[in-house]
Amino acid sequence: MKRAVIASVLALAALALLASLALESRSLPVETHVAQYTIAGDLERLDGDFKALVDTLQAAWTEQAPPGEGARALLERVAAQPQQLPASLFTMQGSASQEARLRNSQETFLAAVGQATTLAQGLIRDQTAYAAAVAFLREQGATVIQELRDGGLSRQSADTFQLVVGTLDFAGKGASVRAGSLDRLLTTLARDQRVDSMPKQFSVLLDSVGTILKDKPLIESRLKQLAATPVGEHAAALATAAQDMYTIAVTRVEQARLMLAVYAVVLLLSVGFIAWRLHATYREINRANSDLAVLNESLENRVATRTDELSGTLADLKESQVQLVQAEKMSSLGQLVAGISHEINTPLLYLANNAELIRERLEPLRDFVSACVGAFSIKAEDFADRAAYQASFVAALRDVKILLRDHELDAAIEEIQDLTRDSIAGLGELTEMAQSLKDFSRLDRAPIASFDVNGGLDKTLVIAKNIVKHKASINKLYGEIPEIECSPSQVNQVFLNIITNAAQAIEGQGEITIETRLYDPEHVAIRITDTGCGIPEENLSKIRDPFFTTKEVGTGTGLGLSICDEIIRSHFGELLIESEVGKGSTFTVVLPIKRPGPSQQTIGDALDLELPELQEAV
Amino acid sequence: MHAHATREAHRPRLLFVDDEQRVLNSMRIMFRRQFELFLASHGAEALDIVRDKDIDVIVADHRMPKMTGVEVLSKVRAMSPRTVRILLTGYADLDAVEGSINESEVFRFLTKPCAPQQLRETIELAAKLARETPAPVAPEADTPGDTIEIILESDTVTEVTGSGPQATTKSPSTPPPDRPKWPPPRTEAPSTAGSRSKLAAGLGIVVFSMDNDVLDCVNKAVRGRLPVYHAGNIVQVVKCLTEQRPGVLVTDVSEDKATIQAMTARLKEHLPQLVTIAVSQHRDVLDMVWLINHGQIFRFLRKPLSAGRTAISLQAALQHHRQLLKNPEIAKRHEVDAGAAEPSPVDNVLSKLKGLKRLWTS
Repeated sequence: MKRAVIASVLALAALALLASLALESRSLPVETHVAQYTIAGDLERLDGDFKALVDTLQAAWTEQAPPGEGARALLERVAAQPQQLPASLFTMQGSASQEARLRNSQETFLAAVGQATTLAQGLIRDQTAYAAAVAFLREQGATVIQELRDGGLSRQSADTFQLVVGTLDFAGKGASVRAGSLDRLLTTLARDQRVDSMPKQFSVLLDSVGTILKDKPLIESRLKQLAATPVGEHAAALATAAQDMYTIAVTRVEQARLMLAVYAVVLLLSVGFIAWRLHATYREINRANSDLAVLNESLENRVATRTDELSGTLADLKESQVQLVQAEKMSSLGQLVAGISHEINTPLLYLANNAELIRERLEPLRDFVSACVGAFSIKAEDFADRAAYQASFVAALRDVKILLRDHELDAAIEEIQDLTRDSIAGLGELTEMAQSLKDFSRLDRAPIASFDVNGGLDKTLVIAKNIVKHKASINKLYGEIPEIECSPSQVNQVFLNIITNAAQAIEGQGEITIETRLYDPEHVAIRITDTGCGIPEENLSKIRDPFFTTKEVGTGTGLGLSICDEIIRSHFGELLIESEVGKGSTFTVVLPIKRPGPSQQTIGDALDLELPELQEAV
Repeated sequence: MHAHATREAHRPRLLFVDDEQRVLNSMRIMFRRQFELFLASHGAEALDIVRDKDIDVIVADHRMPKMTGVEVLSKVRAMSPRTVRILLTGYADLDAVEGSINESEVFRFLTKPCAPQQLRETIELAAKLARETPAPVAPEADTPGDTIEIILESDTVTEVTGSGPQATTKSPSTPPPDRPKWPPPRTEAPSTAGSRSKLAAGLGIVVFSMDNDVLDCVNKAVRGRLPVYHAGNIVQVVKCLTEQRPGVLVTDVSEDKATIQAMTARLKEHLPQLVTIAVSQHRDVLDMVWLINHGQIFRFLRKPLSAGRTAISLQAALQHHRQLLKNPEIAKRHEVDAGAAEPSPVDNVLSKLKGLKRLWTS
């Protein structure tokens, strides 16, 4: 996240820099370039016009002719030139000093042109007046003099003549210093002017003289001033400044372009680098992909191999599972046999003992009986006298009495009674055991038969007697339930397993409660509750798993309950287990009364969990 | 009345423990005339009787509620060592048999159903031994501890300590030409054995096993404090017994069962003071019961042996042997059931031991 943000910021910065550089490197407008190329010409032309104007004015001055239209036209061109200079030249951007320099040059130039224009305009006007005055003197002077002469004013005529000649001389001469005599003459004549007889042209003549005398030095100095006006220099300076400015601007653009190029190269390099990295990554990914593909392929091969192996292993496992189920059967069978063996051997012990004892006790009894028979067979006829008969009889009776006393025959008879009573009871026990075993295995019954659950529990309890009797008292809460359709031997096996587990769960003395009831109209429930150690919660889920056992290694295969579960499920029933550690467990077997599903034949096939060994053993 | 009491006093006292009343009834009728009879239906009751009465023989069923027969007899062994203990059970499971050897040290292990004659004879023999032989000292529980050291010191300290130097020169049994096929595997063992051989007869262990692990384990348990002899065959066992006079025999009954069982039985018959520890790979109820009844084995150890267990058993065996040496009459209590033993080819080899009952006391 953070990296993504940094990357976007960097990318934006790179773009901003690119934009600013692009802005910098923007080409100067075309007018600027054009102006750059035309300004020199324009300014040169201006300079030329200006020089031509000066020349024209000077030529006119020399010839004492009015400047004429040519001068005016030139003046107009010169005056108009600054306005025609391209504005774009002066909007170029540069450093402040350069801009100031350009601006100064422009202002100086404009000032110079302005000054020159003003001078030139004055000159044209004055020179025209001057030229008119000279022309009047030349053309009308003689006439005026003549008229004066004619009028009798010879002195005035002579003075006028002198004045006109002197003035024209002054005008024509290059000298700028006018003769003082001319001023005096002019003053004198001006005084004479009030004479009425003076020709009317006389005052014009005097004005012309005055103009000439007054204006010549003025015009000359102005012409000099005009000629000295540095229009050309300023134009050149302006052109140079503009040129410099243009060069700088162009350089800046060039630099910006260079920088842009460099930056572009850098960017390109970066992009290239990134691309290379990406490419490398892609190559890496590609390689990984191809590796993966190879791996996949080999994996497939391996999977195939493994599958083969696993199939083999599965077969082996199935084989060993069969063996283990067998082992569990043998193990529970072993326990069962141990119990049954003890249950059978104990009666056998006292039966054999009792028989032997009865035989032993019968011997003195037989002696006693034969002694009695002997005594009673003494007949009076066999004796000569009654005394001998009596003595013999008494002796026989004494023997009988001795036998009776010595062998404690009265006690012996009681003992025999006890022994026979016990023996009959023992035989009953053995018979019950044999019957229970037979019923338990149900070899003589069809695989699926109608089964009395309560009776089955009783038989199972007989078989489990030895396992249970030292551990728990049995509390039977049998309900009235119908017979169910099931495989009696398998259901008995389930009962035996659960009851045995219950007994084994009890440490010391406990209680096992067996309760049967109708679960719902179609099922019966058998609840077997013990007061044993209970099953920890973490084991409750695993308890039906094959091979799960908490018993010591070697004492259980861990298959007992999984086989039970299997049997119950094959009967379409359910095994419910509740337990609380330290309080005990309740195993509830729910079985259908009517066996659902297909024909009995298929069910019989499904139930290959029979206990043939047990049946054989029994 | 007085005469009756005296007669009662002379009758051996027999206690039956069985949770089946009919067995007790039968026994009562069977033995009431010969014995002063006590009957108990469970272990606690039996222990109360043993505590109060000086019982000569106790016969207990194994499978009983709350307390097994083996537990009852183990407690009796501690409470009343002179009482001869017999286990009578309907089903002999392995733990019961092993416990009857190692914990209860029973005189006989009888299985139901037992022929009345055999039952009677066994009980009569037991009663006779209980009456006629001195009581063994109350056994100490098999607890770990350096009993071997204690035995060594108590037996040898007075006479052996000084005799160190000449011991080497005065080598005890002049070695026969073909002698050490079973020399003590420990290098220090010969001198140790030599130095105290005369005085500490019986303070050795002969190991008869083809399994090196058994020998290693015994050596580890003994830690060189006692000579350990290794015998590879019966001839070597006999030779070792006659020459080195070890008091404890550790014999491996895993292989060649018939011969070794017969040997064990004959050895106990001829040398009642020899204490036998049987070692086996397998636990077979019948073999173990046979070894109890005919060989009076002192302990049964399962392979692989643990050094600790072996050490404890060896200490107990050595202690027991010492007791039998001090009071040979007690050894009669280990009278084996010789009659039932079939003649065996080993009898010839072992017959030379017949005259050596005073092997350790000579």
